[in-house]
Amino acid sequence: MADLRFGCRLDHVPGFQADAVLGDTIFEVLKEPRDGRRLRAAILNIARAANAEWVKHAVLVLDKSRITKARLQEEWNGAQSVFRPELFDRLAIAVRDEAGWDGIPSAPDPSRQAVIEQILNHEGPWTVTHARGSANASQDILRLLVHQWLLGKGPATIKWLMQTSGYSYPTVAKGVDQLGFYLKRDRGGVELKQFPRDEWVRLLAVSDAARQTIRFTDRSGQPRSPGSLMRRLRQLRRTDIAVGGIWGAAHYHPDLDLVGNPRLDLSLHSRKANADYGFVQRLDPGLEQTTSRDEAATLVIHLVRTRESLFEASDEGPPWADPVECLLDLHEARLEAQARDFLRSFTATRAAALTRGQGQ
Amino acid sequence: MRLVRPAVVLEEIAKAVPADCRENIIIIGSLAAGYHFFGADPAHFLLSPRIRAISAGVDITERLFREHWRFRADERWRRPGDATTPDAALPAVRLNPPNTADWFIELLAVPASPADEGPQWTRIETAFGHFGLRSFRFLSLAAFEPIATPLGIHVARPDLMALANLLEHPAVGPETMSGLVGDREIKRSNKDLGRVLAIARLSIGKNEDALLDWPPHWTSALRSLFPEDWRELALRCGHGLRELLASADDLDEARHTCEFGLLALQAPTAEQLRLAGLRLLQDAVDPLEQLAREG
Repeated sequence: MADLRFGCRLDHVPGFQADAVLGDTIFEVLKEPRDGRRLRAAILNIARAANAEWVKHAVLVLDKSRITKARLQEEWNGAQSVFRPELFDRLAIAVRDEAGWDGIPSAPDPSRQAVIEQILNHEGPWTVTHARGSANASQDILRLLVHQWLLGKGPATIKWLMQTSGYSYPTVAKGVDQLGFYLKRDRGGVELKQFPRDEWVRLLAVSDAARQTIRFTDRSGQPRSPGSLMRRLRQLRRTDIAVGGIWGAAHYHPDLDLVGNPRLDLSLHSRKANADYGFVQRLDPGLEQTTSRDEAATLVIHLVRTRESLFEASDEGPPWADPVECLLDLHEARLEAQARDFLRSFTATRAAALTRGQGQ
Repeated sequence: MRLVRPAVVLEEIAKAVPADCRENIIIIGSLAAGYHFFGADPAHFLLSPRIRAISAGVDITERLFREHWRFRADERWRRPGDATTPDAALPAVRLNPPNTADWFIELLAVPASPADEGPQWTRIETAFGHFGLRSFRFLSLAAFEPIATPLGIHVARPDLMALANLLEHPAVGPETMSGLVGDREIKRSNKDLGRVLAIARLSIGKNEDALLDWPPHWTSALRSLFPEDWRELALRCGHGLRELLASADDLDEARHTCEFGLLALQAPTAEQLRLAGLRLLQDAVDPLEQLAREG
């Protein structure tokens, strides 16, 4: 029996990543679809994925769908009129909601239901993508493009942005369009021409809310240092929690003058509607959440909601948050001078790389 | 209440004790912890090993009386015993130094066998009367790998004193202290477990990760002193502490004793003491239990 594989790239659809593949069957998951536009885009994607000889079945899974059966059938009929019959015959929609299983042209059989359950469990209850709204999507796209720019990664394809962010094509396209002034399109991708200061300032203004930042303060009278919290984090061996803030910035640029380590910033990669902060008590039972900016925060946690975290793995301990997260953390901690230096260090690195490239 | 400087008290004791007895003396209790951290009273003596403790106990007691130390009378023991005093009624060797009643020393002994469960009394006959040397089962932990001082006497390791107190109180018992602490009657277990919390808090103050070093040292001591039942002891050592932390009244009694003891200068709130307890459980007790389960 074939193995169920998750997050599979398909050679015949460059940039596309199927949520799961089992033998000759491809699965794509759409969580809580509410509107026809997203559904149409998803049907288009799954049809493209089905357009290869080895693919016999392509299943679009709708989890907790808010779309009526009549509307679903309407979209399905519309798709049927567009696609070649031999391609369309490979497609199916499976619907799982509180009432049970349904589907087009028919509900999945029990064995396929079991496979889909496995896929949904692997995906996790990521209701976030839609619950967060288009503003968050634009901010996430901005962060991804800034990430690529800081690290000199070159143009990012729309597909990469879709896969990394977890957003649909229309959402990503809209987010990209909003950055038009700063963008250049090249080799089928998009890239920032320069650091987008205006957009960045807007992002900073809403950063706390966008990243769902939560602060914890010491109640024991003996606050633990960031170093102590780091040592305990290392013992947890979690790959979904990354070190950011001043520590993360120092990781990327050790020469920076990052005086003082007043607090520890962590990025938690979670797509769950309710992120689990239980690990905080493992770091220190003396920590308690605070909403007061007047209280000194010992630990600050930011959520990373995109599908891929962009964390940098470390052999010696917890992963590092990406440079954009670190930069946002420095701003959030009011370490403006350090934030400027951190950003300049990337700018200098980029300039040096460009000079080297031109000299060759 | 008057605070005494541990180093000064320790020096005073060392001067008063016969030189050849010093190496067999281990200071335990708040003076030992205070010597580590900053200052406290009163002082307790632990004599080790036991055979020499009896002999040394006589020598030390007589020497201290000759140096004008005074028997510390209380409601239970008004004067030293004599040959007619039943063993069960013998007073402990509790002595005040010549110039102050602010602190006293009490001579104790390690138990003859790890199997000795409850408190044991050994009669010592001196020129100044008959006394009883008390021993508790887990006093041997306080005598394990003590720290030498420049004064020739040793002090118990704070982490092992904490373990001894944890094991001595697997539950919050009803027994109260013989005297008041401040103006309050206090359960003995709350006083002893309160000292555990005080030691934890002071240790954290000295080194924020200090408690992480305790489990291997605790395991080493338990395996060495109680090879037969160290696992069982390890698995129960947190019971009393967890009970204390879950009871607001008991925790407040513990806090109160800390105010009159090791934490007099930095009195914590009950919540701060509770958090010190949670850190102790997480950093030391839970890992010890885990080590015991793994064997």
